[in-house]
Amino acid sequence: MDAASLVTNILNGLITGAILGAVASGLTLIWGVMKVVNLAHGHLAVLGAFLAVILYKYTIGLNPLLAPFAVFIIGVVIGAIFYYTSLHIIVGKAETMTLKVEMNSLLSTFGFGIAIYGLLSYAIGRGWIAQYEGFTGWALKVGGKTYTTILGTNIIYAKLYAVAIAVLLIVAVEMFLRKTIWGLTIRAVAQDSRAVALTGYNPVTVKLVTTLLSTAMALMGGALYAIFVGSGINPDLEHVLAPLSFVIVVLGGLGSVLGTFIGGLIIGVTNGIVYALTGETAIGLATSFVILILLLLWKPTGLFGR
Amino acid sequence: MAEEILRVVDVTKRFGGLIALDHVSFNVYKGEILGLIGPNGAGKTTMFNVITGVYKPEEGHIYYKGREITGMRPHKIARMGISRTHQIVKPFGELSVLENTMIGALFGPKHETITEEEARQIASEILEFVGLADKAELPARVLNIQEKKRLELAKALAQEPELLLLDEVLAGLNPGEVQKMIDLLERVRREKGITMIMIEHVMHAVMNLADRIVVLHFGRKIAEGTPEEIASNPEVITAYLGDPEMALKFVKKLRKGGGA
Amino acid sequence: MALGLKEATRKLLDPGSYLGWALIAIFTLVGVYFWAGKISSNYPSLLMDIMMFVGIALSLAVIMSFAGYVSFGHAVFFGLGGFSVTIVFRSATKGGILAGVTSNSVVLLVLGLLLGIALSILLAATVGAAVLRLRGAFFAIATIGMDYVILYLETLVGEGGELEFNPGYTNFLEKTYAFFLIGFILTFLIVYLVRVSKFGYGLAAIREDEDAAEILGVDTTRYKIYAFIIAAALAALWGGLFSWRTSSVGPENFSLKYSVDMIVMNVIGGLGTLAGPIIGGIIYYIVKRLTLIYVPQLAYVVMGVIVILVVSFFPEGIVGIVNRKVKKLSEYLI
Repeated sequence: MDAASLVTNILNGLITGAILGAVASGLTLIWGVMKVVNLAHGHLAVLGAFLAVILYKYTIGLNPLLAPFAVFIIGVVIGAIFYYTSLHIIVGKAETMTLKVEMNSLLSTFGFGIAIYGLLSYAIGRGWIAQYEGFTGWALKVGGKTYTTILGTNIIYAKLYAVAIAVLLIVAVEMFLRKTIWGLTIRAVAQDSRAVALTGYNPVTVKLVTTLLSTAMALMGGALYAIFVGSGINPDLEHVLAPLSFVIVVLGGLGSVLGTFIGGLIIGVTNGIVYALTGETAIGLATSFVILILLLLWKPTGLFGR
Repeated sequence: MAEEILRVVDVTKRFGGLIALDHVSFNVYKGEILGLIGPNGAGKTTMFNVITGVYKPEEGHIYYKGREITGMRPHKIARMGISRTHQIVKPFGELSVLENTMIGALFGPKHETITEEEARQIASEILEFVGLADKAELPARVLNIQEKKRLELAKALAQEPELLLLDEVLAGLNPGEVQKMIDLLERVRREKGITMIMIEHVMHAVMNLADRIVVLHFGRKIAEGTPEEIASNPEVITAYLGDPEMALKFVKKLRKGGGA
Repeated sequence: MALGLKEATRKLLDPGSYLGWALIAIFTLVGVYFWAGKISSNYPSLLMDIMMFVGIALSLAVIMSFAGYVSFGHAVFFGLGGFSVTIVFRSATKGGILAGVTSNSVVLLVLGLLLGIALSILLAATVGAAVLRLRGAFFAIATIGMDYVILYLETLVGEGGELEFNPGYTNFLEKTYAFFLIGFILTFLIVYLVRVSKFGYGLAAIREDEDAAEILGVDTTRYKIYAFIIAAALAALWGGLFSWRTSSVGPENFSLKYSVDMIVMNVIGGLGTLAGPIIGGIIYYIVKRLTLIYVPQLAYVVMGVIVILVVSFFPEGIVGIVNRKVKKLSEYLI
């Protein structure tokens, strides 16, 4: 392997990592703040990817460049459905996260996730939407070209756009968490669940808002992923997005959005290098899971966690 | 005094930069009740956790009946005959009171030979002893706090230990319940002859029950002696001044002890 | 004396053992008629489905329901069992290392099952020693990770597709029914013994409060690993039998979906009892079957909704509800 192709793979890894970081960032919130390991997260992201495609191709012909923002807004509504069907009774009303509540939330979010999977499969089975298509036929062109060249590597503009919006999402959420009262409350609860009593907010409302934000971020991450890959959107993508999100969140530290984004970059570059060395994407995935298990054993709070 | 059952030598335990125990040494003799007192954060519960193997001390040694047990796993230490109760009770909530107590018997020092029937027998007797026989079939989670404290004691006693560590068994009880528990502990000593170390904030109980007292303050042992010696030790009183309520109790105790 | 009486009623209220014995009696009876050629293969096929559902539910129960560790990676062991049986058969028929040694399908099946159980025990012991240090969600996530790693290794060997083999089809259904019945009896006996033994008490203590259990003398590390190993071995047994029945193994056998099937059966039935996984297994099978008949395309949606409903409104499961009602009834009567 020569230096040039290594540079190419690292660069591609960074871009992939930024998108994966965006997908995972919603998970770190709900996990860090509510101690809910959201097993629906991957399915929600896939739903976001499909919604972006549906908005463009099957309904109003929305420009894919605007899709992430539209999907974010739809994500807030889906977040409300998610919260009131799967979390309110189990987690919302619970005063503390006992092991039992934790296990029940794991199962209920899993239930919500496979329901999404089932609905998407159903829609595909009925021919309402097509899988593996995505934004096929669409491309972002600047000056008549679909790609630019950075460090000798051709990079598609659409991917660059997705990365830019991913960074924007992370910055916006970080600003929200740091500069607004709501954000401070959420962060305080992430540090210590009892802190909410001191802030005067209703703990149930804090959980609801966290779920809405986390879900909207998951869906928007999925929409970015759709722009990033362009095609190949299918329900089974969950099997890649969900475990990778877990790896990234554990790597970045629970509750840390910025840490998660950096975790995404690390995983992206790792996969890029593994790919450069072996020519196999699947080994990169397996490597990520091995990293996950080792990391869980060594430092469950993550590299950037407390 | 009689033969020594536990020897704590120069034990130091740190959590990050915080020194929870600072070169603490003391002995416990067979058949006695040793009171372990000190203001909050003095390191009392940490001492129990080090003795029972939950924490490994950075320095120092612990000998039980002449054998070093420093750093051994908790279940091994339990099987050698050291039992404990927890300040925050830990019942097995969904299991019945009887089953809770049986588990104590099944995994105690006799764990290799005991049968389920024997364990059931022992557990029933112990429940009778602590006054929980009529609750034997209830799931442990439905007990009230006083009953849970008794169950905690029952589980420990079912192991038929030689050394029993009691972590604030009186905390959270009302005065009537405190007296009943003190009576129960008196009976444990009288009828079962078990050596005990008790962490306690209810001063008159320690003063009445304990043969000797060790005082910890910020992880250091600042005094050791009979209740009378401790009650008149100026350093102990200074240590408690950070805790006005405690200091007041001490002063009262002193006045009473001084025979005014 | 009064205590003895109460004790006896309490054991009656845990219908697990009686339910198990009753099922074994029914399965055997149907088997006798089937082997004698008196009934068609419809009922035996249905009963084999139920045996497997209850069997895998019982296998997971040892670690999840008895010890309180919810493993999302249990399908790994199920898959390994199937994989081993497949490999053994293929190596006997396609010029492999067992070619010419024996072509007796029963011997090969037993060899395959033993290999699968051995591999599962090995994996459970090594992975278990590490991941069982984690609790709650972290344990669950680590087992998901384990599932993906093993699934990946399987796709390397199987090149992503189904591996098929020829089990020899003379009297295939009759033989299969016999193997399933033996597997079911074995599974029930092992899980029953775990449940009523001192080991079972230790696991219950771990489930309720692991730290307290350790302090009380329970060797929690060793018990957890033993439970994980037993659960893994039983899952491998059923995975092997399942592959024998379908004459194949594929990535599907390792899929998280099977893990979740097993988890849901235990949740529906109720945790901590022997009856839970048995009742849960049967009911889940019926629901799944009905779903596949009436709304096959929405099977996942139905399953998801069931999981949410059960966890939200009946977290103690059917056995929990029945136990409460029975107690109320007995209080009313006495």
